[in-house]
Amino acid sequence: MVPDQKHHLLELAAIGVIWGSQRLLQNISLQVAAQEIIGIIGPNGAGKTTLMNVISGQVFPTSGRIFYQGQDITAWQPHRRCRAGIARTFQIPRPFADMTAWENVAIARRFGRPHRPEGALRDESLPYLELVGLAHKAETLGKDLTLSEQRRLEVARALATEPTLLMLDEVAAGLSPKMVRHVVTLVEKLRQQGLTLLIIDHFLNLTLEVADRLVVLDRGEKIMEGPPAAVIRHPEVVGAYLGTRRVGKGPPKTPLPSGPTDQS
Amino acid sequence: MKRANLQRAFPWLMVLLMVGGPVAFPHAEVYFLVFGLACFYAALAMAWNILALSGLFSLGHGAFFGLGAYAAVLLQQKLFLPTYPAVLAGGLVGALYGLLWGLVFKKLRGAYFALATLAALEIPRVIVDNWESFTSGSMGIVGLGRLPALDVEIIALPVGAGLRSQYYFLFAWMLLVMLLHRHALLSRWGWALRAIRDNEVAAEVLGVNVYGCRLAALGLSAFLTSVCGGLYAHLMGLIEPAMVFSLHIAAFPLILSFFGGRFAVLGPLTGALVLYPFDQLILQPWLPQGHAAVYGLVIILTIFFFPQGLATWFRTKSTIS
Amino acid sequence: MGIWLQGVLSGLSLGSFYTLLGLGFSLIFGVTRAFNLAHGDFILLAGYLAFALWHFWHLPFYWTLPVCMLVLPVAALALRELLRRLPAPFELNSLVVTFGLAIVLQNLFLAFFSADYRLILLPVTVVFELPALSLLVTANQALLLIGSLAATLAVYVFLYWTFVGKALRATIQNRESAALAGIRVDQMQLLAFAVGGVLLGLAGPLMATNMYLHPAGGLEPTLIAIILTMAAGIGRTGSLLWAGWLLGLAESLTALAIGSSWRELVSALVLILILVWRPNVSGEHNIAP
Repeated sequence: MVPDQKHHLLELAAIGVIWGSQRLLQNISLQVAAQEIIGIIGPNGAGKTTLMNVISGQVFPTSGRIFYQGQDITAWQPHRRCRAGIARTFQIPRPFADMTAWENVAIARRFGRPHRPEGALRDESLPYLELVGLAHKAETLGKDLTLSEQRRLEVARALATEPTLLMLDEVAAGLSPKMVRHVVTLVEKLRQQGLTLLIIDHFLNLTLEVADRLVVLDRGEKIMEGPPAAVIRHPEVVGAYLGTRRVGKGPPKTPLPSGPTDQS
Repeated sequence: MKRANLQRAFPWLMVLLMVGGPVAFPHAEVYFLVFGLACFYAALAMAWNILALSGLFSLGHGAFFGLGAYAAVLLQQKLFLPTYPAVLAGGLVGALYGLLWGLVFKKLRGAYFALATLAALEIPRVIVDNWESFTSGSMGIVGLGRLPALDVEIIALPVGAGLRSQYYFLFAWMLLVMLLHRHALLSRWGWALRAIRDNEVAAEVLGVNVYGCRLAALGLSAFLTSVCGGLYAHLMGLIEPAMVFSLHIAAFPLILSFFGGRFAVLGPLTGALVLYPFDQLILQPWLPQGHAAVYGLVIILTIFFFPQGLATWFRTKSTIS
Repeated sequence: MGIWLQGVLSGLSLGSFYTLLGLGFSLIFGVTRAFNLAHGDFILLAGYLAFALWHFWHLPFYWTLPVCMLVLPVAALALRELLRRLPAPFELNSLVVTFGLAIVLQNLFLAFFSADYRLILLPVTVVFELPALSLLVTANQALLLIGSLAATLAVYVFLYWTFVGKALRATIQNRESAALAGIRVDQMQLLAFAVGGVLLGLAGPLMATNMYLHPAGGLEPTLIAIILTMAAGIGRTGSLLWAGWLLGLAESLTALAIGSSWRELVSALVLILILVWRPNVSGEHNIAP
């Protein structure tokens, strides 16, 4: 499907976020068409997670507006955005610690959609656990899951809200190449189902393959946007990642395939 | 008897004790008095717990209690409202103060919320204490009548006629609050509250209206606590600022809820029905001054040795619906 | 004019006493991050102890000070043992347990001293007088002012000029970093509770001579200690004296302007304002973006 330039699914217009004395985001504008997959990359502290927080409603922008499906949602509370179809995962998982895995998903089914559940919540929840390979842990409490299981639970919960726009924060960070293949397959499948995806991918191990476009952030500003192959060769992007623009600010930050280090 | 059977039978044993006891011993005045007040404190504990279920702990519920008591009495004396409507209106006054908390303390959590409520308890107390022309100040208001007969449709209960009818009235009030408390645990709203107290940020991105659900819990909790305050004025026959705007009114429900079990439908109720009669019937005659130390001891022991409270062993496993 | 000057003076002396209250609280809060709701009741404990020694055993008042300053550290260290063994979640449980402790103490006071108001009555002697301004300082006021300021000064010298004191301040500001820098955090905690206990032991008798003792009177000092700790900022003991003087002045001038019974309203409102307006205290909900 060719993206319709007039009706973007999501549009950010000159978003700025000031936190205390820091400018976390400056003048970010971005248009996302339906069924697009966008990768957001950038060095640590570039504002990737803040941008996601602004779209999902955890952080309200100090300037600029957000439009979703043609409506101005800048002042909407997070739960309302969720019911309208915006879902996200957290880089550092936030499971309901004292609920079982299926109950975690059931909360999303119960509250995350505009209409009420049709069938028994447990039956409705299990397929989502199966999708991320957690069906055998359905009765395990959130706090007893391993970190990687909690991350997959994040994805299952987000999908259980039946989103239109799904935002994934570093889902593939620290995964083995084999596990990354699984994630790629899942993302392709979601694209076929008609979802729009926004993926934060500091280590570039996912978006290079699946993204239609990459957006590069550095120190709160959008420095580049375009097809993945072109963007990552651009000197400015290489500079942002290797630290040539940050003279005297510590050792260069090479993309390492280790665990996540970004602030959540 | 198997434990599961015992668990299922427990609520019925309680009902038998509470209803059958007075029938078996119709002249045990002390029994009516103490268990009637135990029901009253059970209702107060559940009212407090409704807010605690949303993950916020209040140390200032005495503010609602006192506002409810003073509003009920002053509405009767100045505007000549009948007793029960005045008590309900007192509940609304308390609920309004609760909504004010909701606005002002919107961003406070954990210990900071608790401390703010502690300060919010002092404000109405100092005002009532000093506004002598309107509230009689620290002298209090004395000579309040007993609760009049409750005459609704087919039931006519002479509530204030004796300790026995007072007991039945308070028992019924406890059951009513228990149903609301049950709702705050098991309904769709109850599940939203559970998600909020478990992980607030996760709850909001999964579609739970965090602020709305919490405000509802605060409003209901404040309303029920204020109604308890209005009833208390007539149970005691007098009110003073230091008596109703007291830290103990906040401490009581907290302790009873923790002791009984905060996450069980019958938890706070069990805590009240066990601890209050034990204190009044056994400790108080033995140690007339200072017997209330037991409440402090009980809460410390609860936290250290059975943090889930008494009720865990008969809690039926609830599940999302 | 004279009456206002007198008000400023009593505000400063009250404020110095408040600083003493806040100092003990913020030392213990600093190393544990536990809000000790029994703080005021520990002060009452010292006050009642001094009262008992003075009233029943006819000990001269000045002798009660060292006794209390030896006994209260023991009580404070007992509190530390209690807090150390607390199961998670610490923040909530420490609040609830110290609240329970406050109830136990209040009822003990009630059992031993009844609900009557108690006061250590010292002979009223005027130590300083300016008749032109109708300014008058009694021995009591001077004792409160000098005792509080001397203790505050001693703690400041200890915290800012000695090596151990600096280590303690580091522990208060950031426990993890302090531990990484080789500071024995558990010993610093012991020290903070011990020093906090000494300050409690001094505050009790001072309170017993200047304000009445009442079993339920522990809440007000607790609230004041919390206000000062929050106003000065966590780990910033240096600002406590300013916060104490400001609050003391505000309360005493309010009492002069609209009546002493409104004084408590000031501290309650100040606490709410501090809690609501402080950007960094609201915890988890502010996701740092």
